[in-house]
Amino acid sequence: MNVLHKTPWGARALAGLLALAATAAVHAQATYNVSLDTSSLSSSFTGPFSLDFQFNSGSGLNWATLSNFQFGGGVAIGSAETLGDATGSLGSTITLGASLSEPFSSFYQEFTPGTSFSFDVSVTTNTPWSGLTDQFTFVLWPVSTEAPNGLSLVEISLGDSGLTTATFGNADQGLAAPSITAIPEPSTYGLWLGAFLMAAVVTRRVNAKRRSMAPAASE
Amino acid sequence: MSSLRTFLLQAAASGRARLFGAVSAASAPASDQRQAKRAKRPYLSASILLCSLGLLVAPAPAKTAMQEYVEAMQPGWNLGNTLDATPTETSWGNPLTTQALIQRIKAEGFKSIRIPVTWDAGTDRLGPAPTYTIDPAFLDRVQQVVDWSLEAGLYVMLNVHHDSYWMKSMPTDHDAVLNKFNAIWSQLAPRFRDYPRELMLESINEPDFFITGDGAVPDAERNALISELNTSFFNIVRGTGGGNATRPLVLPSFNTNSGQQYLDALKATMDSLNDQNLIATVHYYGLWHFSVNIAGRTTVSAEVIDNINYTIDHTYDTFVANGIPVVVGELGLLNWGPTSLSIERGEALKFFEVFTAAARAKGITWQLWDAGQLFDRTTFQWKDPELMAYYMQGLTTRSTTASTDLVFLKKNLPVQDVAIRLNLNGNAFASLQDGATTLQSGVDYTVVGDVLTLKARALSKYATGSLGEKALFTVNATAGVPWKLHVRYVDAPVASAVIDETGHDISVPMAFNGDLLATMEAKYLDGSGMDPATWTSFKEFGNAYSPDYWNNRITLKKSLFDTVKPGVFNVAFRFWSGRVERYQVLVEARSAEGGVEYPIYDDAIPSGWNDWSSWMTHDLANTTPVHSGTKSISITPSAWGGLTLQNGSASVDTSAFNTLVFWVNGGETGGQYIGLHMICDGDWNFTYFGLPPLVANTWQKIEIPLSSLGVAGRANITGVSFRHFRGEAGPTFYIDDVVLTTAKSLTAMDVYGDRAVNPNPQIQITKGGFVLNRRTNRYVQTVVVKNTGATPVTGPLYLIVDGLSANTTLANSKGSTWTELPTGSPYVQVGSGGLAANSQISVTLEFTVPSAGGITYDARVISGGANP
Repeated sequence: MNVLHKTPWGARALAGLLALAATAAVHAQATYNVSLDTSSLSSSFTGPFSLDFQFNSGSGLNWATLSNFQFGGGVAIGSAETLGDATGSLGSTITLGASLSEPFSSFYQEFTPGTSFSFDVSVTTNTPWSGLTDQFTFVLWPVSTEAPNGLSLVEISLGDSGLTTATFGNADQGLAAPSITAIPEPSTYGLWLGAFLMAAVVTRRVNAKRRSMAPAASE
Repeated sequence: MSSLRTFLLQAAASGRARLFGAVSAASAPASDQRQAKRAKRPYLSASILLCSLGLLVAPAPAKTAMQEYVEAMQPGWNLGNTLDATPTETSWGNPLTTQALIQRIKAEGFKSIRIPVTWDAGTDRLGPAPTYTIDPAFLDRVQQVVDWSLEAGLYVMLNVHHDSYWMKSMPTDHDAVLNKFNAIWSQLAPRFRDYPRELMLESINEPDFFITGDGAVPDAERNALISELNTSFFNIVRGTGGGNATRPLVLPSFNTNSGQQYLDALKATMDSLNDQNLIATVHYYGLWHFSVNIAGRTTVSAEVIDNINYTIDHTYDTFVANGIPVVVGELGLLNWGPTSLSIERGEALKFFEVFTAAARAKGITWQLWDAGQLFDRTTFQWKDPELMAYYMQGLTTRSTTASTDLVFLKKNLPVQDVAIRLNLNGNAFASLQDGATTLQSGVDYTVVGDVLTLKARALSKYATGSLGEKALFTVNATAGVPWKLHVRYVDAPVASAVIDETGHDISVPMAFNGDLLATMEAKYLDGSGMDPATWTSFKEFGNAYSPDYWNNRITLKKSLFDTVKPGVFNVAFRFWSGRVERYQVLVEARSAEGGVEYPIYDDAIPSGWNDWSSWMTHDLANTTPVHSGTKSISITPSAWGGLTLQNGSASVDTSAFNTLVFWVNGGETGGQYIGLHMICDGDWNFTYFGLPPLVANTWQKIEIPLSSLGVAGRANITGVSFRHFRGEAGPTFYIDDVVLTTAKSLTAMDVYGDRAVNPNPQIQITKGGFVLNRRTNRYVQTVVVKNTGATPVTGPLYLIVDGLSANTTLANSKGSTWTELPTGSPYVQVGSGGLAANSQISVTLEFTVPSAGGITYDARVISGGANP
């Protein structure tokens, strides 16, 4: 007996959820929390400084989303400068897109550092074409050109060898390498959880139906 | 009128119109008048300035009757490779000229015809000295074609054409050459004395001179000689009176070259002749490097356009501005026709578009050189109607062209927007079509200024399936011939290995994968140049290499190996998509080795062999000189005479033989031009192999690989034919000891070719992403170079950036490749020494901010050598 045929609603729902989960996997994202101790920065050099979030997707396949900005007592100054397909604000969410004709996007915002700075960054992980590396980069620039140069503090790269993350300090600026921590992707987990719950319901219903159709046991 | 003067006069006229407007506004209120005056002051000043400038510009010369005559000849067509062919009118592949052909040329819109005629063809076309009587039948034939042309309503230019070849010796054989030249014109001038004025006579085609061999003659002597010829021609023709007293006469500069020194000399000759019915002529085949595709000149660059303008401007300034009209008697590109591959088609179309526009602006008439490559003289159809459309359009208006006519979609790479710069040439963009479908602006493409951007949306559907040309887009402008864009879906071309020997062309198997070959570089491993043309690594298309798209191969021509040194040379095949396929060739000398011999002549021909000789006096039992034994073959050839020896009976398996060996002696005189080909079972159609001129009274050993004769491995070689390759009788020469041998020719070398690979396969290159350094405004990329092997890699190490996208440059490059191919690739040094086993080193690349799109390139690392 084809149980699923007898319970088409369950099959369709289960298949749909699994498909959604699978779709989410195709457009998979990796999310990280980045946290930087800026206490030495605020005391060592004359500000202000600039936050520079760059995304370079030469393949045109990936993009990055930034959110949950925490300034640790610092404050953003003025309005942001953007390059390419960069939208949003530090008050909410920033999206750094890319296209083949305009592969580079950047969100650049002056700020006065506090004791720390943190944010969440989520990047899509579509495999770029061979020989190319799509990359998210976080740099902290001194506005004054007299101050030490900005260097990459965070790089999230997606190339031939898959996704890699790296953090760097900037000894000239007295900055230790920031911490970068992977965050589970809530939407993906939610979908999988839904799928498993649905599977459990279906299994329970099928088993119940089997029990109801089974002949009574002879005593 | 010059365009500058036109502009100034128009601007002045515009200013005056505004000034008149101010006068007519006198009845307006005073305030308005003051305002109007203030407003008009700039115009008044501009008018005065422009009028003053107008006075400084010389007025255009009044158009002379001869200028009008020459402008009425526009456009013109050459009946090339026909009556100038030798030994007969059809010898160079064209059919007999018919009246219908001439009439059709007229119907196609041509106003003039140039009839090149070679009077001394090495045959009985021209009799002996001192009268040099022209064969009456041939002269009648020429006159017939002239008559047909005049009857068709064409202006006709008749000349002395390839006779310029025997006239080269004028510096050392002055009187004989001049007498012969004069004798020819002394017969032609009276023959056409009373012909209509629409017939003009041209003294000589492309006069050139040498002293001995290819020795150069100083310019002053060149100019003096051509002046003497032109003057003599002038006096002979004018001296016959009648219609010839005022017949338009066409005089060339040295070699019809438009170098100013030659134009000045021709102008001086014309001034001395003081005649109102003279026409100056030059020929134009473009900047030589572009015209033959050498030295990497593959596109209509500023250099190519400058060369066009130089020719037009200098001939205009020297002649037209002084009342002497100019005809570009031959217009074309060297060795190029609609089916040629040497010049990319779109570049050729651009070249002619620019030239015709420049010529039109200066009132200079041109005549297409057509040796049969343009008009099919059998079907009466243009072989390339679009090319003809460009020529004809150039008579009235300009056409819009573009930076390219090729759009490449690369397999396994995302389809990107493609930006193409339009050369609007005074027109405006109108529409874009994909086949018959009109594409949507803003959706399928955009046009901003002169940049047409094809959107990936319109292109992506072609990035699938078979490779090659997938679509033809048409750029329509408000005037002119629409520009075509060929959309090609391509993958990286891949070459394969070849094993062969020197002495003939060598075919490299090549999977073109839809791509098209632009040019080829070749250099020895140490970076030194190699023949032909050691001065450039970019070899001449067709002379050193040629692609064969139908048989998937690139032919490395014999000329590349004629003087090749044993060792390795590098090759870079450069494709129009921007891709480069690197290739490496090893050439090895041979050591002596013995072999089994099969004699074809050894004091006599073998039993069963026959003597099939023709057009030559010969003796198979000549007793002196001999190379060995007691006999040799003596040969006294007539024009094109041949000595043919054939095996008429016994069947011999010749598949094991590798080389034909014989000895040859040039006899008392030497200098004979001899060639030969093999015969297989009565089939004579095998490669003709020419020998250098024979040396007098000297026995020379000739070894020819059978592969160079196209019969390597053939089991059925049954003969050999020696031929005198001149259309005239020659002095006696001798042949002896003719054998086939299994030994390989020591004059040939073994050739092994294959794709070039990274010399250090254990080196792994990993590219990082790009980061914008805001302080330097550079895109910075970290590249990790890792030695994955268990042994050290010797330094120094260089990272070479090949095929870097044109939108950026490598800002921190140490230099560009010169020894390594392809040349011109930027490189950086990796570290300062070598690389230990299982270790890695990072190198930073700094790129300028790309103008649009991403940065792409191929990276490779070389090690252990000198600067790349």
